[in-house]
Amino acid sequence: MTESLTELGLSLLLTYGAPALAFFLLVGAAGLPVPASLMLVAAGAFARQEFMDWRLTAFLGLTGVVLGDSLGFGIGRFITRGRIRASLEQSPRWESARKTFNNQGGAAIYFSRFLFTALAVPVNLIAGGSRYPFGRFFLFMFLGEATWVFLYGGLGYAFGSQWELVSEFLSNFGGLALGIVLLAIAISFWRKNQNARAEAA
Amino acid sequence: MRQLSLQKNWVQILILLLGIALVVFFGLRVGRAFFHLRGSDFRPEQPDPQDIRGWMTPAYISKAFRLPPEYLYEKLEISPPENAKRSLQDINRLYYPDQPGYVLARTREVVTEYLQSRPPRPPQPPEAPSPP
Repeated sequence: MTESLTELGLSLLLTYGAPALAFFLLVGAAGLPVPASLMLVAAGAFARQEFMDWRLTAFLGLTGVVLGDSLGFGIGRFITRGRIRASLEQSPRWESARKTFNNQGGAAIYFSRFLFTALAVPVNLIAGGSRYPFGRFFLFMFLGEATWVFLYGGLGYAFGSQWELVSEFLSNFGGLALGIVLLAIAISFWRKNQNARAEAA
Repeated sequence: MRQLSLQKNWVQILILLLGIALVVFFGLRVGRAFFHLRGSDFRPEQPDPQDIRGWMTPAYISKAFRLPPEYLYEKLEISPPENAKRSLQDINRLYYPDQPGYVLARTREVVTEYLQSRPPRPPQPPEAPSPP
């Protein structure tokens, strides 16, 4: 098979239109390695070229990704039930992490939809596994996914036939943003250590 | 206690190194993509025939380049109904299995010829001044 998964996906997107986009976004959100952001930018460009209807594309795309995220949440909840759940609940570290996620998970859920997209699937699993309330998860996830669909699709629409350049930029920007966050975390740890040492001295 | 502190230090160093690696790797790629974007002419509605890819379908190409679908089918010597939604790669495999890449190259040629033969669009009339 000479053609890549991306080429096959783009070809299916042209052949089947918005339902194909919904399918790719669903399976991508559920955890399969699919170039979902690229498909979304491409769909925006195809809408600009009047090859796809942007309203139907946005609606079905959003529906697909919301279903996929909910599926990921369900998988997270399913795999941490029974004995696994009982053993996790005995660990104070797990309980502390669960409480932290319950308090600050909204931002993680929202920003992982469109900025730190590599973290979206793990965040879904963590939210499901940590018994994060589904209603709250759904709200932040829906807002984040709507931002993603309209931002990425809108950029594809704006750049039209030059969508491949935009897609290249966006896919790398997510990695850069994640790197900056990790550096910020490392710096905050270092400062905390320095303060603790100063207090001890 | 000391072991826990060492373990924490290792985690922090790992986060720092991973952060630096990601910033350097993706930073360079973002920079390159940004310069590509800046260097390209902003022509969202005028695709370049050289940007035609093997995954594209004849139906899409005729829409994107605004050329009659029959023209493309005739020049590629293929029949329209069943091939409209097949990718150029699939058409190549079906009709020209011994010539890989032929359909893609031929499509680029055909579209370029069509665009060159098409009369240029008339210039847009200047906008009438709005009343005070």
